[in-house]
Amino acid sequence: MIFAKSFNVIAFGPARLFDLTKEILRTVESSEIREGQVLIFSVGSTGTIIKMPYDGGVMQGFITWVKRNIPAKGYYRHPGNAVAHLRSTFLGTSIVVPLVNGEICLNKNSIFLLENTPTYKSRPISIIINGVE
Amino acid sequence: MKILTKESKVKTKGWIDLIDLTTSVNDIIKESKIEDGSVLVYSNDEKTAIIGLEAEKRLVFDTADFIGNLVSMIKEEDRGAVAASILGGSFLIPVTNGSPDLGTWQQVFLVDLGKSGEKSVIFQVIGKRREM
Repeated sequence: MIFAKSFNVIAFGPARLFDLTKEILRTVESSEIREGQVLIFSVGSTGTIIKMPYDGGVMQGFITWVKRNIPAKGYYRHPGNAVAHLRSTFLGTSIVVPLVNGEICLNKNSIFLLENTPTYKSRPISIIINGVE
Repeated sequence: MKILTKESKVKTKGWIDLIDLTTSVNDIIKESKIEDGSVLVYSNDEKTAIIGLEAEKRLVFDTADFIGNLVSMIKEEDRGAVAASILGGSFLIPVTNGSPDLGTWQQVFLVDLGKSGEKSVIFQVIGKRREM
């Protein structure tokens, strides 16, 4: 069976992480699917979905890496927010996580939205759960 | 649960040619009549990748430059396959109410990192049709 749900996150960047894990766990529980796959997708072309431990050092290290390797300052032709698009394209807008015995396999990880745009926005997150009860 | 799989041959100009596949994604979802589920876009070549990107001409140039710089230190004969590995060969998109959840700006692109020619892309929609 297929379960589809979307929710919005109030987010602002650039390069800020927002923890989506609680909302994802709630969605998985309400789907009543126990075995399958969970697709978590940031709708739009400037968000990023990633998993990592909820750990200040790791999160800060990741942000530092992103800023250094996809830098805000540079020669870009696209007006305004080229770097937000590049971070989104190269880091990816989705993740697929297995669902086993009713539990999403995150181990010690959380799932984050990395918001790449510098303004407040209501970012839609689309979730598709595909599996069996 | 329904599944529809299709292979497309996409003509490319070679090294860092970016080709918008969004129309093909919309077409296969429509043909499948699937309302809720997901569509997988998969590059079936060693030197191609699939990315999400806004189809704005200047941004497409910025992206091509970024990819070129990313692998400039790799020797030329390996560069294409390395870039394809870094970018990734698949893209899975939610489908709701018979449309891909791409938002206003996101499109799906094939990135060719090899020589010009016909490249294979596989589209697979999985989901449920509307209950009658």
